[in-house]
Amino acid sequence: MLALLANLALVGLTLGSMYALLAVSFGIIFNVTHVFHLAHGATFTLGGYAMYWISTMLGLPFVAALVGGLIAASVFGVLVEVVLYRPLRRLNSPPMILFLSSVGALTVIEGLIGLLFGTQTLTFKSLPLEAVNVGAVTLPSANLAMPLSWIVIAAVVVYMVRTRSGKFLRAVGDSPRVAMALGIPLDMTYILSFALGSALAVLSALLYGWSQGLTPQMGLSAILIGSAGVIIGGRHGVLPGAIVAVVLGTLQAVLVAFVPSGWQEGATFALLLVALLVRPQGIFGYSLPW
Amino acid sequence: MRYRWAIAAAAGLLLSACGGTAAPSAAPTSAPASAAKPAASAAAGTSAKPAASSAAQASGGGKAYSFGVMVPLTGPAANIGEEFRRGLDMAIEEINSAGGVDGWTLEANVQDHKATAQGGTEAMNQLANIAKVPYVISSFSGPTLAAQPVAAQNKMLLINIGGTDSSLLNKPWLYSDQIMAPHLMPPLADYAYAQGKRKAAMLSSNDPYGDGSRKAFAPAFQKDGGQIVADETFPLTATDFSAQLTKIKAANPDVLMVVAVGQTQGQLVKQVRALGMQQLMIGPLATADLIQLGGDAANGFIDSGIAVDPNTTDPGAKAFLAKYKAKYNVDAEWNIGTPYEATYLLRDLIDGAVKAGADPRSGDALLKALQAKPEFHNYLAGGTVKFAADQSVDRTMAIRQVQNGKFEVAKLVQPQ
Repeated sequence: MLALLANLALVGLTLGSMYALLAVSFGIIFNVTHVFHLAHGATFTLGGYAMYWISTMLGLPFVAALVGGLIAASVFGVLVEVVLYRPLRRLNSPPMILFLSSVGALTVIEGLIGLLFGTQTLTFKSLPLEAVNVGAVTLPSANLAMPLSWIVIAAVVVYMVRTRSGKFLRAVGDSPRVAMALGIPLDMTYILSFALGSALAVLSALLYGWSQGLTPQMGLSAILIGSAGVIIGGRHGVLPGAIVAVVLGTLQAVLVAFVPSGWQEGATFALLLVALLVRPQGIFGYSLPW
Repeated sequence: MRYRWAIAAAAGLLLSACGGTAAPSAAPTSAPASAAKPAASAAAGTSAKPAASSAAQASGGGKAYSFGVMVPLTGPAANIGEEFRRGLDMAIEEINSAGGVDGWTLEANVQDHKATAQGGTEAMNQLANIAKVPYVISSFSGPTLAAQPVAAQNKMLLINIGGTDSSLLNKPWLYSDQIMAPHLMPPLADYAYAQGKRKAAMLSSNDPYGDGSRKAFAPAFQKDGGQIVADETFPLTATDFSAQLTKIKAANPDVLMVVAVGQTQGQLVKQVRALGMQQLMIGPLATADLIQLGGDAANGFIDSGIAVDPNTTDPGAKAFLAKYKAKYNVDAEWNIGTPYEATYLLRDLIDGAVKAGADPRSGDALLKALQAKPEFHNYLAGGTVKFAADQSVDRTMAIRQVQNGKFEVAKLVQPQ
């Protein structure tokens, strides 16, 4: 039983690392703009398919595919901000309207991708799938790459704390009015948050597509855990969301040892919803730095 | 205020997260309340079904005869839905090119049930209350189970061409052109046991299809003398099976029984092999998706399903198989044949109703025609298929194995 738990925990930690990166990408946008950007799922999906198109259909090296995916996702994220959210904000639309517009954007992109690429699952043929033995545990290659997410997350934290533009993002997230009064350009800061958050989503999409394949509907289910991590962890900084997301991923895997695996998602979210009801400001509140 | 917003958003996420894990209920009582109201009003007789028994209305006079079709057009089973449509479209084109049936030209109203019970209810309500069709071809256990009460309330003849769960049997207004799980799974269990496998793990989708298959497989394998060492399920929308497979691997089975549809099947076998598991894999109703997506990982997979006889001398079956091969450059499988047969069955029922002097647009007339002659032509292997007392069919079953990217028949099992 211990060996099984250890194995499941390792699987969960690796998957959770991918979710943590997704939570960070979602959290940057949510914490700075205060918009529940469900269309981030579309960015995630678009980035994955852009990489597939460049690497598999155009036959270019995977590095080129990654760069192409980063550019495509960032451009899309910025476009959503400039074309959709900014005009609605200027009309003083309530948050629910921005959320609904986000749902619309997600639905449209999912449909478009389904039309262009079909609904069958696509895989990155140039990436290895074989399992690798890590001690007594066997992990697929994609899972071995997932912990690298923490290097990216650490880089994001350093950026947020140490750089001028990172501090702008934090300031606008804390209080847009005060930030504006201090001369911080709101519009450009929002654009920066969308560009950065969208680019980070592509790295998650790469890991996700590598391990599970790409489908037009993959964005919503992936954003589910990422956004839950941000809400439950707390809106101050990106680390709370990342930590909660990795805990969620680990719990989901470990719970399989104790409950029927069909209930793993429900049981996980039930446990963490209880945590949120007990501590609605987020589990971490203000205790963690960005 | 902002925390309430966060709690509301988290609650919404929880509900949508659980939506994929809750096993869909067989009855429409789990369907949205709005879906129940149209069914109730239909039962009260407000639905405008054409009056039966008018001989003048029996002949179509060149009019379109609309019937319903419920298949998955989106989601992981979309490719299977596309294949169902191929068989359907072939039959419609042939029947209409030959002048239709008694003056009627057939027209399919295709709805997407997304392979879920909720999708089945929505699609069936659309067909019952807006399209008002008397005949519906359905597929997959969950959607068909959800659609059956709507069919019964509205007197629509429902023909299941894919679902295998035994709870589809003996239901009013529902007939199945499919080998059901109690007949489909035991031969698979016997075959695995005969191959020397003694410890089976089961990994199945959390829906009536998965549930029915596991419940039919386990006792049969245990009766042979085998042992079930693991029994795991996954939500229909799952794409990552690493946790379940890790648990199964720890149980050290020598055969893995997989119940999944379409692309999920292919993804699963790929992840099994990616995890270094080399066990024999078996499962019901494998389709081309298994090989397309599974690639080399699919080699050796053993499945059970309706048998196709490529060497049949039956003219009808021979023509159907040859035409499909010529058009699509692949051999027809059961999921092409059953919608084709269900469409030709409709042709026969319309003809039967007209000859009886009834209006074929009435579900009652179609049901009476079916009860008068409960059989149809076997376009997959020749001969005639008869509906049994439980309203399913007894057909020859094939146990196949994937070899070098193709299905090869390993054994034929005659109906008992």
